[in-house]
Amino acid sequence: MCVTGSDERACAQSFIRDFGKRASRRPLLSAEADKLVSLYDALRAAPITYTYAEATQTLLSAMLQSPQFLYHWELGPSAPLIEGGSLRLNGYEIASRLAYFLWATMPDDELFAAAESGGLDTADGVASQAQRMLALPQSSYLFTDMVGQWIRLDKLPGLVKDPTVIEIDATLRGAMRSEFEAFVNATLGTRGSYVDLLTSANGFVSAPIAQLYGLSGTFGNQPIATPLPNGRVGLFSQSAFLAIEALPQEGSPVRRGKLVAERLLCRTIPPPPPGLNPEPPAVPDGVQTREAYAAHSEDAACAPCHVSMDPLGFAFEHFDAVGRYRDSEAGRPVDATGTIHGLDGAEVSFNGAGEMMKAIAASDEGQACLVTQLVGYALGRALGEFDMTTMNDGLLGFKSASLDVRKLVPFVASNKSFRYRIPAAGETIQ
Amino acid sequence: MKPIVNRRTFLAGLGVGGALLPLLPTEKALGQNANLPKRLLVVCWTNGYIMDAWRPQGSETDFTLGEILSPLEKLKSKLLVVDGLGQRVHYEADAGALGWGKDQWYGGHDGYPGVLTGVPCKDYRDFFETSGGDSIDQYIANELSAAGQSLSFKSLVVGPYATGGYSGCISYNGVGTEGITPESDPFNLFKTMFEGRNLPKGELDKARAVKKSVLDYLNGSLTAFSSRMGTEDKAKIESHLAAVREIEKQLETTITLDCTLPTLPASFDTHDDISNYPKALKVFSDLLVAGFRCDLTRVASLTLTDVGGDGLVFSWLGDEFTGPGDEYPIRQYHDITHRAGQSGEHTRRKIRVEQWFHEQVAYIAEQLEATPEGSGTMLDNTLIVITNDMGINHDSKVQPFTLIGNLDGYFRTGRSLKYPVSNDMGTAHNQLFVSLANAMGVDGSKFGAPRYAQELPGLKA
Repeated sequence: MCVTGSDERACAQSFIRDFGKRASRRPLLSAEADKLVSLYDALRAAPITYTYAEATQTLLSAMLQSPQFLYHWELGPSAPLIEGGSLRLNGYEIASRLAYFLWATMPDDELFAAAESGGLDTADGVASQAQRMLALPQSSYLFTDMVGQWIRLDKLPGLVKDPTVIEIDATLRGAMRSEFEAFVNATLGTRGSYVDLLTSANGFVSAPIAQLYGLSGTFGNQPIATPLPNGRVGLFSQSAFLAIEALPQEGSPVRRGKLVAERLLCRTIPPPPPGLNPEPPAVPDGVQTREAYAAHSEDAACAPCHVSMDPLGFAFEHFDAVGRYRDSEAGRPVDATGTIHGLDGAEVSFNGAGEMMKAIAASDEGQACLVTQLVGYALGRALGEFDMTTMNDGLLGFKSASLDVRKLVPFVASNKSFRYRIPAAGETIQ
Repeated sequence: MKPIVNRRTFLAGLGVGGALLPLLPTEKALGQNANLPKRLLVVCWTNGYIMDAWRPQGSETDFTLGEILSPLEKLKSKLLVVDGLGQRVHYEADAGALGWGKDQWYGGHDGYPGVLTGVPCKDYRDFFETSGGDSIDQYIANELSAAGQSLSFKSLVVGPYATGGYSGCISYNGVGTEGITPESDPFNLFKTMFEGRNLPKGELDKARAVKKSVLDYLNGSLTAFSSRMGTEDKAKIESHLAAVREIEKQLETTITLDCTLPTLPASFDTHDDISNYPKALKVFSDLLVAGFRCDLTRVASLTLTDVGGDGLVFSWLGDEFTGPGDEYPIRQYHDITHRAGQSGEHTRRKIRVEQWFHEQVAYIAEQLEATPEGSGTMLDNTLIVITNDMGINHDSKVQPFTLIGNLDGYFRTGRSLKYPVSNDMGTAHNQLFVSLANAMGVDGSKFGAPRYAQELPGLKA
């Protein structure tokens, strides 16, 4: 920073250079820096006659409104390279992609240095940066954010339930979130284990969760690794998912099933056709939730789509509107059996969420979906033909790495989809 | 990727978007012209109506208003209730080709961005869509501006608690753009419109020069930035650039404030606490009326909900509007709507909400009606258009319209009109927009899909 009496214009220039590099995620081109210096000069001259502090404040405001800061389009300083019809991204573009993929924030100094020295120009260089970044604590956000998006964790803060079912308050909602984060960090974050994410029987229990799950023992505010009873295995038998994908009074087999189909199997469920009543059926006293939803698979208009959702949702029938376990509903034993249609081409029957999740975790379809999800998250765009190689190679790599998602991350980052892009129609390539 | 603050929301908070800009008092006097200004205000919200409670009973000229429109009873002679229009262009489009991924539209909510456009959206992906062209408010504002009209604001796009990014937008500027995020903070809007009015001349010049220098910089860097981009990305930057230029133009515009400024209430939470919604809407209403009275703008759109209205809980209407909903955790607007018609209680609740919305619009109309202008009132030179992306069905095939005002005698009011609906599909709403443009003194024949670019018959005096 500048000390009193130093050359203020030179100070402004170095501020523009340093802050500009951070805001633009690459060094400013000299033409870009010159424009900012002109702005500074205008702010210091009549009629504005700003002080140095006022002028730099305004510079800051201008830089944070510049397109280089606002848009992810990291041109220059070197022009894009065409290789086999695709554009190879330059080092700074890769650095930015890596940083927003792994950390959801800007590159650090080491990443900038790698970009500058050409360390991100090769697949191996990118992979080794990804490994370094993954080892730092801020990378845990990648997993909690990605999985949080699957289960729509953003719905949690506003979640309320019918008070006759349960009074849900900020403490319980907070405990659900801590359970989710601790579990995802332990399974994916620490061990990278896709299988554990879906099937680990070790939950993370704090006092409100213990009460919800009916566990005895002493628990505090912090979630503690604890084996869970009642066949409660994996993230999708835990409170956050079960409570979010539910109605105020009861669980929702449709929402739960749809989410499993879309997020864990990457299947497409079309929206209800026009004219159909999209409202969930009422569940009267004496009727089980599952029975109330039977019409979906009997009605010819509903069945074509609902047969691919509802049976997956029935796996969770042991869990109520907030994820409490139940053996019976409406005085009769709960039926949590069902079939995954066409899992790797087969009909796979299950009894309960645990069995269903084990089948998904062991399937090519489930594993390929995880790869697809990670590639999509890394790129922040819809996937297409261009990404097929990355996804196919990714699946092979994922399998040979014993389904370790942490090993998949550098693999994805160093692959074609991540390091290249298709030139846009009308784009000028220098 | 990390769901950071919506880019446009972020920009709005950063400063140059208006808060710095003083309103410049000048010499130019308004209202000396014999031609009084014509103004358009579009008010829109979602989730449709119980149409039987909205539709007037009786004949074209001798009718009684239903419960929903009853708040407009006092203004009945200035109303045109228009039933039977719908988003024909939307349903005639190839939904699959636009990204819906299927050979048909979902049939609900996807019509929100088409409320005012008259062309199918360019791209539709899971509620994130880009426009197929200008919305009618922007079309009129752009045409007026191109014809040399020079006001402080080409248009105002506002809405309490409007979320913007997630299809909270009804106003679009150009093809392939994402929609204009409504200003959702009434205090910001006040600043944008009126701050700096009392600054001494020297400070005013200085503030203006600062703003101009920053805008010049942004203008230059946006132009350079987009130079190599592909067509689609370039279009996005173009609309960003257009917004910057628009603000630059505001700097060059000067006005006389021959008008009374609204008094602002003490600051309150305008973002998270939905119970403040009525208060926020009242401030917006006062500011829009002031914007017209002071001739800061002649075109405005007011969006009362985002695409589903899920965040809106009508706690101020009584206990039966709070607590858990039937399908959603909270009894919010979407929940209220889904169950309407299933029981007397549910239906009453829905009708009350729609009635409440109309009470709010009635307030705006009454303010204009209370302002003398020429030989009549300001409302006689204004048109308020109330619409909704749905009718009673979960689609935009019938989009109801209620017009208040006659634009200096262009429309014959005091009538209830019904246009042909075949197979549930209403008459193209484009035609009403063509009429609006013509009534505002702008050539409407270029608006929207050419096949519907003619006036809606039967509206004119």
